Amino acid sequence: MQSTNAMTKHVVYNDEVVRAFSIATIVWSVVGLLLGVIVAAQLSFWQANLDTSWLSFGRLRPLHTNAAIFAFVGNMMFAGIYYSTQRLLKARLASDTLSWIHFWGYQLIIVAAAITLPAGLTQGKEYAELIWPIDLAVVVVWVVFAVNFFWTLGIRNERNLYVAIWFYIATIVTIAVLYIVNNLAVPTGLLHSYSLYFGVQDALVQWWYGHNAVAFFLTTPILGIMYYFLPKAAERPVYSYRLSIVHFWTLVFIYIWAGPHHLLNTSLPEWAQTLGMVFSLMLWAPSWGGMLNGLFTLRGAWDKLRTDPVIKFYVVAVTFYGMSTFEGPLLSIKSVNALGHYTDWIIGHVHGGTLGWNGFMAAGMLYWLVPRLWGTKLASIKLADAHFWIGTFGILLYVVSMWISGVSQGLFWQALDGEGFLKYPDFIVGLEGSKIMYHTRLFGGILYLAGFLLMAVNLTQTIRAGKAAKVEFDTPALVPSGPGFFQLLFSPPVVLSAVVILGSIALGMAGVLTGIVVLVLLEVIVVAMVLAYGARKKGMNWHDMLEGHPLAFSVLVLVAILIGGMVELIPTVIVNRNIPVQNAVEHTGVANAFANAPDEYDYVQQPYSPLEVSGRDIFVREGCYTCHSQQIRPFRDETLRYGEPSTLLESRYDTPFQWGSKRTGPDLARVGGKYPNSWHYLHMRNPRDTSPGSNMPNYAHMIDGTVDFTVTEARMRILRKLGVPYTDEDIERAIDLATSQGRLIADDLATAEIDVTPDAEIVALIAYLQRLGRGPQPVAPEALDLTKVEGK
Amino acid sequence: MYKEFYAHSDLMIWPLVGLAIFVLSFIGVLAYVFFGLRKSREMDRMASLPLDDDTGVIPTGDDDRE
Repeated sequence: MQSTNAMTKHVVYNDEVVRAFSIATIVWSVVGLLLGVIVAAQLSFWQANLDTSWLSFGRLRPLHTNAAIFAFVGNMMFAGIYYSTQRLLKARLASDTLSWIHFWGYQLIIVAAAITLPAGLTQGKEYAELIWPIDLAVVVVWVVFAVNFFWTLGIRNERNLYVAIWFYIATIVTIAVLYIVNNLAVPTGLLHSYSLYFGVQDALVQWWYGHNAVAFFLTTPILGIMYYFLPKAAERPVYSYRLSIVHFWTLVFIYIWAGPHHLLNTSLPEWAQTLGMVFSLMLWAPSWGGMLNGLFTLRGAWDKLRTDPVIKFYVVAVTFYGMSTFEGPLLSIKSVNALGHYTDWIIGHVHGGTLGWNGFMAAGMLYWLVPRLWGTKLASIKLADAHFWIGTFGILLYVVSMWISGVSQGLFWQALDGEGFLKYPDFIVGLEGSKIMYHTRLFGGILYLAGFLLMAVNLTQTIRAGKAAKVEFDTPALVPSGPGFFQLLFSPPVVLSAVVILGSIALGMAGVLTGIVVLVLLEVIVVAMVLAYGARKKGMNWHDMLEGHPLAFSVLVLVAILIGGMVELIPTVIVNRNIPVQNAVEHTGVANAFANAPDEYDYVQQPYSPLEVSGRDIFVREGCYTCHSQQIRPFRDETLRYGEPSTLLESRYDTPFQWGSKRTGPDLARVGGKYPNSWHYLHMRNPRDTSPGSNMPNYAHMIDGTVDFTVTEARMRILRKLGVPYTDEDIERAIDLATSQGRLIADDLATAEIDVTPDAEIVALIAYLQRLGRGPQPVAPEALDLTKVEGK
Repeated sequence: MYKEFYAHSDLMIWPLVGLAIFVLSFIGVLAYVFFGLRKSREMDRMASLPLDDDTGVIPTGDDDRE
């Protein structure tokens, strides 16, 4: 079928850049895992924070996740993609220059992240913490990667695109969309910005991104790598090419809808939660189809499991993929999520995927790839076997300990006594009960890291023993043939699918038949599949033709992922601007908001004062959201423990939103007024003074640190541009108002014999914490209505 | 727990019905793909593509196995 003429091409693969990415993978794997061990140690032993701001858990945890995901898995992904793409297309990478810009640009981004995140420079959104200049660099490097990749597709010498290439296309297209949309922000300076989204908008966009970062950064490219490297290692063709077609399209279409399952039982609108849950359940089918396709590829080669470490790593990796993709949908069932969310169960689930699936796929790929790239044998199979067993044992210790800890936490938090009140009202008691599991997790993490250190030694010896291999050969040049771009794009399967999808969305958006939309959209998959196989033309089926046309293929992938994204995001973004405000009171100024408040809870939707803005920025800087949620779910145990369920209104001026995803410490949504200012001061200085048994770091550096209120003023101007209704007076008097509110708090602290300046960071943070879940607080002495204060 | 979440909304039954139909449809597609399609030589060729490149097989064994 391949159309060729008499011309042949001489091809020399660019494996230099593959070697570079492979070495980077080895280096960053150790760094990312070491950071994981450090943050695990900090949760076991608070002293491991070393009383140093830039080494505290809240700052290192984002560094660990970014290093593991983007540095370790990212470099592994690029090595695998560049190696396999050249061979599957029988073509050298299109541009050496772009390849090296990609490599060095990406390494510089990682180094920049390693400097900025411990420094507290963060956007405060999970897996999207990098500040805006680095975000721009990421976009530039990703574009370079995309141009290089698609350019290579254009000069290929193999007509059809193999399934691995489809997954790479989906990765490149989708990550670009996700990253740009989620990171839209307005800079307030060189190192800080505010997200364009507020409250529930930000929550939904963030978890649409966060979930699909897992899907399209940690899953689809690795599946592509699986579809290439597993057959290579097993020396068998992929079990079912047909199944891979079903696997690919179903996964790509469904995955993008599942983001809201990170926000179940929150104040996210019910319809979005239900969509997220249902589509998550549907993910079971394609995920397991892919897993079985991977495992069955080993048919007739299972004997290698005894002798070949590469196969061992792949089998366990694919098994963990199956386990994680079973557990994910399970946790997306609302009732299960009610138990598991905010607990260590989620941590166990995530690490089953990253350590088991990503880590072991990386190890398997490197053990196979490095000897070939350097034209030698693996230095030691025994060492690789040792890595396998140590790593497997480490994962099991990690995951099982987190399961036990997580389920225990969920049950502990929910437990009610015979009269319907909290059986365990003291949060710390539960934390102390988890300590043994935290120690076990730490041990498991150390074992896993030790395995990778063995790998680093083994592969270093392999590289030193070998010599960079060069692969060159002659291949027939490809002459383009088949239907054109528009012919394919407007072929019956696409047109019919588009009509059905648009019709379904129109029905659903009318607000009448939302449930039916879900139904019909799913049927689209069926119709498209049936047509894809039914529309045969001159011996070629429709999908066969599509595989020969990268542009049409990429456009359809883009359409597939945009449908789910648009259906969920657009209504939320639009609706949030029109949330009906109960007891609405127009904002007439920060200075008099407190004095005018007939009831403080009517004023929950009022903007933060300048000092509270500063305090919130500090809260975000320190990564408090990594351990504290700000979202009370509508369950009896939560309302008893934390107060009334959270509402959309309460976070409508929150950018970035701080709903959180984990409760190592208690929820803070209504912590305002729960404790006196002095309690917060003592708690921040040393949490053990007020909460014996706490594993929270000391934040004594906030006592000496001061806030520059001129910066606050500038940031308030940006917030007003983004839609926060600050008055001219609010902004012009921002410095005075912040200072006066700080003085009120400092004076209050002085009554407890605590000496602190009004512009101290600790004062700003206290102001913010005292505002959470409450209306405006006293800001300026002249606006202070003493009667009301006494009344409150 | 189930009633707590679903008792108050008529629409909530639809996602469950949708899920059931999806699963049935998915099984149908799988059956069609695996049993309804003719054998395709091109498909077999594509499935074997990773094995059809230049790298050959370099033994990964070393001397310390014994």
